[in-house]
Amino acid sequence: MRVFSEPRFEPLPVTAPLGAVADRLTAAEVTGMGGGGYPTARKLTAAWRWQETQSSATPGIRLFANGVACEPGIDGDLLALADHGDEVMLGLARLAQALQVAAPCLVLGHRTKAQAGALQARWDQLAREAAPPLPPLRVLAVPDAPAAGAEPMVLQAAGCVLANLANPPATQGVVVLNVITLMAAGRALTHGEVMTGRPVTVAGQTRWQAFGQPLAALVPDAAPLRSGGPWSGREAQAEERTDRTTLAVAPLAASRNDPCIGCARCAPACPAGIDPEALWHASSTLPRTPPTLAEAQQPDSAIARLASAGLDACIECGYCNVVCPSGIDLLQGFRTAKRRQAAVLALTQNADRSAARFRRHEARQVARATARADRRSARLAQRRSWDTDR
Amino acid sequence: MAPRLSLSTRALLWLTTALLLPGALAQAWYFGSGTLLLVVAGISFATLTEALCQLLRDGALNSERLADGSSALTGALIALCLPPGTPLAVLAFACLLGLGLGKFAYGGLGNNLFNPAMVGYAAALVTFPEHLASWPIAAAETPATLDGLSAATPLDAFAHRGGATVADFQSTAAFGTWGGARWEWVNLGYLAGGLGVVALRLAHWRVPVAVLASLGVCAAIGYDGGSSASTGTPLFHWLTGATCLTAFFIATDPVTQPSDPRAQWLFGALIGALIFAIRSYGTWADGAAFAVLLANGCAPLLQHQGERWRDRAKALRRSEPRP
Repeated sequence: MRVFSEPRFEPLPVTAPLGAVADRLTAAEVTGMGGGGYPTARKLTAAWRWQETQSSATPGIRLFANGVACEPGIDGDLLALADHGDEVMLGLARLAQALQVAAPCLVLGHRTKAQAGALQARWDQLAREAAPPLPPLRVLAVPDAPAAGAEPMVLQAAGCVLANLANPPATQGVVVLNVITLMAAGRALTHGEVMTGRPVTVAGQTRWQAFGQPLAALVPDAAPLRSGGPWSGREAQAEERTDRTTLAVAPLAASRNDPCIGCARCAPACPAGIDPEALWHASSTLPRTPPTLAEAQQPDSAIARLASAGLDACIECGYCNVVCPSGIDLLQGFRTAKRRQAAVLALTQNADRSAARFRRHEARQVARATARADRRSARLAQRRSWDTDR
Repeated sequence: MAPRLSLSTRALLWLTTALLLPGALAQAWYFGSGTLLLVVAGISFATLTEALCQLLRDGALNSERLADGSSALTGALIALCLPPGTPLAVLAFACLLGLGLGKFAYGGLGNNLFNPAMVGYAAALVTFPEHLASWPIAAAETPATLDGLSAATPLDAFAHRGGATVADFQSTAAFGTWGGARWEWVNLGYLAGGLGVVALRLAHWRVPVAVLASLGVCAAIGYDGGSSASTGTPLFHWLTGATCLTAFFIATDPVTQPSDPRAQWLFGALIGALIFAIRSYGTWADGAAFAVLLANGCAPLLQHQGERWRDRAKALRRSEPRP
């Protein structure tokens, strides 16, 4: 599909003031394409207002391009960087010029790292052609950990410290924009074009999809639908239409739970470094009966095997579910196992408390009996001395 | 390493079956189109057996499980192991035993200890040895005399070469350019399909590489400078018999191989060494099926050892001071 419309506006010169840039972005409906949908113009204006309150000695506005995939099953950023890396760099360059940024930063994940060379080369080319000179680009790659693409995580990885965590970063001169947003912004400023679609991940495959399609057109014959990733997604109606925040669409009841074929794809996918297959096999042997104290005390019980297989290290990211070709809901098994482990632990603690209470009670009884015996013998001794005195 | 394609198990198995095609076509070219008929019959017999087992076990057919490609792959592999003139009854017997005893007796897909295709082939091999011994030459290649209609396999010819040196053997008709005559092209076909399997990450490259490397090292040791007691060059072993089919399509069955990476190296190396040992010192001309079955039997032990090494490596990493 065509990603951009026919030109609807006049190209905006590089020297245009920020107000004109913001107006253009509002007119071209450029909003956060990473899923937030926040109007980009408002972010830029907030940062500009912050800068006007600062003295000239402060470093100025910091601009970050976010190309880190946030969640398994959402691969739009990868597709945008692969297909339209030039437009992304163009958008970053135009906004860096408009905001007078000293050192813009491109943050990539390990899966997008391969594009770093091409993107840097494109930036250098833009810098050679730019009339007001472009600042140097800083390129970072962060590991693809769960939620690594979330704004606070990106800022943390880039070493950007916010003065006030409660206020939005833009009001403190820090602008983080998704790479697809930058792509939209670049073309809106230089060509006056409006984006007409975005990458949507459907059943593991990411393609460019036009806005305004019913979700049922992307995933036919699936009654409950999920809009968004496996973690952050929500249930959606089939008549809903795709828009700028539609990152992924999938059938809601995704787990087929076919037999495990032992392909071990989950092991390298696990960010916690555990073997999800072994853990899942252990969790599927958990008894269905209520938890008992005996489970905690037997060294070969299912709970003990789960603990030695690394259940505690599981961060419940769900990467194993995403890569499993048999569509097994491993995570659900781990969650059930964790609940049972907690229940068994509670039983153990309860039993320990009861045992301790019993021991204290017993010690008290013994002490009381001893004291009583002591008093009695003392009394008898006293009586005896009285007898002898008589 | 994440898979390149995000596939369901069904797609994965059907894609693997499709990648058998280059080797199967080479086999059909050299040994007759009966090969392709056997493959179609094998897939049908295997699916029928699967249906029968489902009926016996559950009393109902599960069409989704029936079409998941696992029994089709097993049937295709059994058919490709058999010479094209094999009676269909032998093929049906192999499919019945392979899927019935090799897979369903253990509880179906994902639970079997032994590779079902190799169980079926081995059962047919020991039950009907006369049907499986000779490979006919395709009509296109048939010499004028009728004696040429079937030929001993290069491995048979090599094993019974009667004191000839390797150089002598290489001048006979049983030897092609690098490996066995005709068989080298069949193996290259499976190698091409196998590279597809590895490139699409349907299976990890570890096991095929371990099989081929171990077979190559053993063959290099047994080569003996090419004397009359030599066991043949590594290249001869790589490109003869069922080497590439075994390395890329049979040993890589995810169910019957260990899942630990270290154990997978051991597993592949064991298969390579056993193929070499059975070929060179055993009764059977090609030992791939028995090598795979023996290694399948060892897989739980190898997995256990691999996990012990992994845990030891983890403990070592943990005991190192943090930088």
